Amino acid sequence: MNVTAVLMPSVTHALRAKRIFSGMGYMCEIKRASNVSRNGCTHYIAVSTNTATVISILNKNRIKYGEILEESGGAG
Amino acid sequence: MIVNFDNAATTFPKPSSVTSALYGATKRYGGNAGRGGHRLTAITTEKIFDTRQAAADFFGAQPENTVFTMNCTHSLNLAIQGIMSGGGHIIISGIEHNSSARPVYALAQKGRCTFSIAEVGKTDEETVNNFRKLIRHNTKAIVCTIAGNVTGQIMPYKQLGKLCLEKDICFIADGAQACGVLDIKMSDGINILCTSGHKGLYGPSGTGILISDCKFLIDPLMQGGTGSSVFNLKHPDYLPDSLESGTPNTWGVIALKQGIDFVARKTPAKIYAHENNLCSRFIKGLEGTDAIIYRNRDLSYVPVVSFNIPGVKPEQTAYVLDKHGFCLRAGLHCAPLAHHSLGTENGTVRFSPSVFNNEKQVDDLVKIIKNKNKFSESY
Repeated sequence: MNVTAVLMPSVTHALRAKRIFSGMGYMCEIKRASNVSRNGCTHYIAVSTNTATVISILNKNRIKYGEILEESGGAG
Repeated sequence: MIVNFDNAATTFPKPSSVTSALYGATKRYGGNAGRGGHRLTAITTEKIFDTRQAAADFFGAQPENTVFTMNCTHSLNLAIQGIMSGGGHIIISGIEHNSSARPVYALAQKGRCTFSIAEVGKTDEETVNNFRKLIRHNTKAIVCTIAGNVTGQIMPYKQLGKLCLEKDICFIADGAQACGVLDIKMSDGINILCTSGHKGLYGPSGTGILISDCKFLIDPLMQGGTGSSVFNLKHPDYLPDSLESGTPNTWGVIALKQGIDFVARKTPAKIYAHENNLCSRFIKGLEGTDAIIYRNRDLSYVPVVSFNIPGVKPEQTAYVLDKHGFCLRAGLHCAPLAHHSLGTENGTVRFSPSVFNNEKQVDDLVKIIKNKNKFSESY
């Protein structure tokens, strides 16, 4: 299963995204970014689908987002 | 027996769901929302977001554009000072509360903006024209209450929203007396809605809301910790973080959701109908007396009635009523501009029911007001 991780500007944006993705049937978790020295203390969402779908849904719902951290083919 | 008819200041009692949520929050939600990643923080952050979503849904906004503040005054200061940070001209109405009038005046005193006051006309059309005539090339914002806090007069806020859209001016609406009894939506032409959580939304005191449509950038009054963009010394420029520095009133905000849900379930229309019926009963009860009711048949009002008893100072009236268990506010109600417009320099007594008041309470109040002998008691 693809998992896409996207940095979010704030936890509020992350929560809004999580509820939208969850409502659409995707697994979505909010996590703290571990690379503090690079990203600062911030949150990212890990969504169980590919990057294109995640970005499309975020854009459609006009949710601000940051850097795409990774897309993995594993279990996340 | 205490009967609160001063709900325009703050509603009391609160719904039991609000008091339960407030108490429950003190037991369960002890994390600092948005800060850290442990479970206590995570569940608290989710609860804060629940309220944000509820408020956004209620007013037709996006949750991330919904900012929690301490009260409506805080919201109005954020909006007014944030929009006018680069200077310019601002217009307020002639019945604004000091929560709008004072920040505008303070900016003008510091030479950071100029302002004009639009007189409230005898008709909505006249009022809107009074605003229109005051617009200058550098007018940045119109600040207007949706409903005045002295008489409850409903201002032509939708028409003012259209005027602002036409002139590309920011419309800042003070919803303190309107939210909860009128169905206020951002789509009414409002760019920034400021309201309290503890009045018509039945939340705890210490809660307020600012909602933006993000058309106009609000320069923050405060910078600090937001739990986001931590590496940057530059404060975040996106909502809600840009206007929410520091730890919020977590428990108050969590309980506020129950207040919003309470109003949403009952609907503002039904709450208005109930409270307006009590106001009509109050006014009818005073018919045939010499009490002065400050209402105009051609205008609309939220459920607030200002009155005076000739020969009795408003403070004395309120004092006597308080001795009989009725809490009504007397004086200028923090709105000297409105009293200047109304010609009531000594103030008025304000009757403002809530969803929890009933007809018998109104009848009992009227009986006391009708007994003029009671008002000759020493004060």
